[in-house]
Amino acid sequence: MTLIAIGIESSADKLGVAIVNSDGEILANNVKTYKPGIGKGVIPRDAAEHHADNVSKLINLGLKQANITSADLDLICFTQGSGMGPCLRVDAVAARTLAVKLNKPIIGVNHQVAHVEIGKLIGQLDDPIALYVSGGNSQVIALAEGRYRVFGETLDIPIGNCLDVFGREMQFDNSEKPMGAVVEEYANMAKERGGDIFHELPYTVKGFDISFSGLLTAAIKLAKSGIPVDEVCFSLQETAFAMLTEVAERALAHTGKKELLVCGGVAANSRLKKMLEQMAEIHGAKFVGLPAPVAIDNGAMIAWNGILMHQAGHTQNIEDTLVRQRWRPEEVELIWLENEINNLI
Amino acid sequence: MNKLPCLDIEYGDTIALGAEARTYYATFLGYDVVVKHRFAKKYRAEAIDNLLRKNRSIQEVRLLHLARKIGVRVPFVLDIDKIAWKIIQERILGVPLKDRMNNVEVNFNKVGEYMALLHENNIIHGDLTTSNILLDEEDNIWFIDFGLGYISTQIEDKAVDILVLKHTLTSSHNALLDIAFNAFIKGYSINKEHKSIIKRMEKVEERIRYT
Ligand SMILES: Nc1ncnc2c1ncn2[C@@H]1O[C@H](COP(=O)(O)OP(=O)(O)O)[C@@H](O)[C@H]1O
Ligand SMILES: [Mg+2]
Repeated sequence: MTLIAIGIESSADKLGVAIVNSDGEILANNVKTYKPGIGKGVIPRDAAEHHADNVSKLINLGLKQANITSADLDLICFTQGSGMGPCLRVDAVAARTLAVKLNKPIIGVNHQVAHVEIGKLIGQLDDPIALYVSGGNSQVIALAEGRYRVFGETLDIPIGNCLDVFGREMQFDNSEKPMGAVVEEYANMAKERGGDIFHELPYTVKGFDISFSGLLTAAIKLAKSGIPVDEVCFSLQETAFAMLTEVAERALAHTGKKELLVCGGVAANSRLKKMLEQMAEIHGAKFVGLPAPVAIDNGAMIAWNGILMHQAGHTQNIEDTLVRQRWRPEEVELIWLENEINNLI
Repeated sequence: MNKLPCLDIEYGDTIALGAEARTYYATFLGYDVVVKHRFAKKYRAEAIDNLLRKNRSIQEVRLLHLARKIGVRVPFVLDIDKIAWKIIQERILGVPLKDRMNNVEVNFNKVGEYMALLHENNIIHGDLTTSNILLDEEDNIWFIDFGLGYISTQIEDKAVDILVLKHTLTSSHNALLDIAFNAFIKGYSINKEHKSIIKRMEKVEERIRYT
């Protein structure tokens, strides 16, 4: 029998609600993004308020698009962690309410693991190295010894945050699109006018780990020294993305895996995808860059991961649905992957 | 048969297509050597690629030399090709530690002792993974792949150097994490600054988890 699940995600600046069935069909997948004022960063409480104001609207929209009523839902899935506490609480409260009202099972899903699982579904992958790049995370995640383990990550700020802060310092207007996209546009502008002159910036790779804070400081300084801002954007992108590609490459080489997936908000950047694609080719690996709706924070990944967990026999009491701000992927028992894991051992 | 501009090398099989380089077996004057070729990577801007290949090759040779001088087992460098960026080095008859995770306590204790020595001499390895530590037939520990290394007196740099090893153990050898890392720490404690370095490492770990 086909199951229908709702997935609610609100771990950071985005609220996502999706309806997905157990055949892996996404029947609805909507996202609404909280926008701090121009020049400001995300304030968790304000973001949470935005999510709370919109969650019922988005749930109703999803049900309507999927052409079902809430009574047709078999599973209620929500992001339990990791993420910003006040934001997570919104998806958790909404899910608890639905679960109690409809008397349907509730499932708390790990955000990072869900990113990888939706990537495997959409990209038809078995065992990828996942580069997860967003405003809140920069991690290389892969299956090892029965868990999704973080092979490498940023030692200070995430890449998305690096691009955001740089853009804010430059007073870029990001009211229409994410800051990362604005920085990419400037970099492309530099290319078009022949300003793709590379300025050396700190390039920091330590094993599988990376660091962006020195790069950010130096890029801001470079722009303030009078170098045209589009040239700085070009150099910043080239440097930051080369670092990310290199740690992904290190993980491919170290594990010998043959699939590469990029997910998270920054995965929308076409320059980054191009670099990863070319790198994967050197290693004879299959590369998948996801379409934006399933690459960014979204409800579909939560619903899909919830379905996988439910089908593998996971059950959860409503008392065990407290949010977990610092829930790391390696803490998640991958019961739905038991066969794959046993095959590997 | 390929010829280098510097050495008359006879090429053998590729050992590894690593993250940075292609590594070959070869012979020179009848000696077994390894050629590490940092070939051009088209995926990144040429300027970055040239800089990285140059800096890392030079740094690697420099640090291999320094490490050898203080008595740490590292391959001897015969030559460097500064056009193609190839390093020709002594071939170690050993296997990467990641493929020989038995006798973990003894081996990681030794790794810790040598790392203490490297750090006391302000040599940061920069890529301390179990792919870059070799174990020979007499159970000697050899360090290779210093391309991400550098010289630093900073506690933070030494702390992060060790954290890289811990991360590799966590991700790739999780079942042996505690026993391997504790043995490492034990060996490392011959470093006069070990307490503040390990404390800093724990701080960095916390910082990563809490951002
Ligand atoms: N001197 C050497 N003797 C024997 N094997 C070596 C030597 N140098 C490298 N290797 C082998 O080649 C692999 C890749 O070399 P490495 O220097 O680590 O390059 P990369 O930067 O690509 O990881 C090592 O993991 C090891 O198995
Ligand atoms: Mg190596």
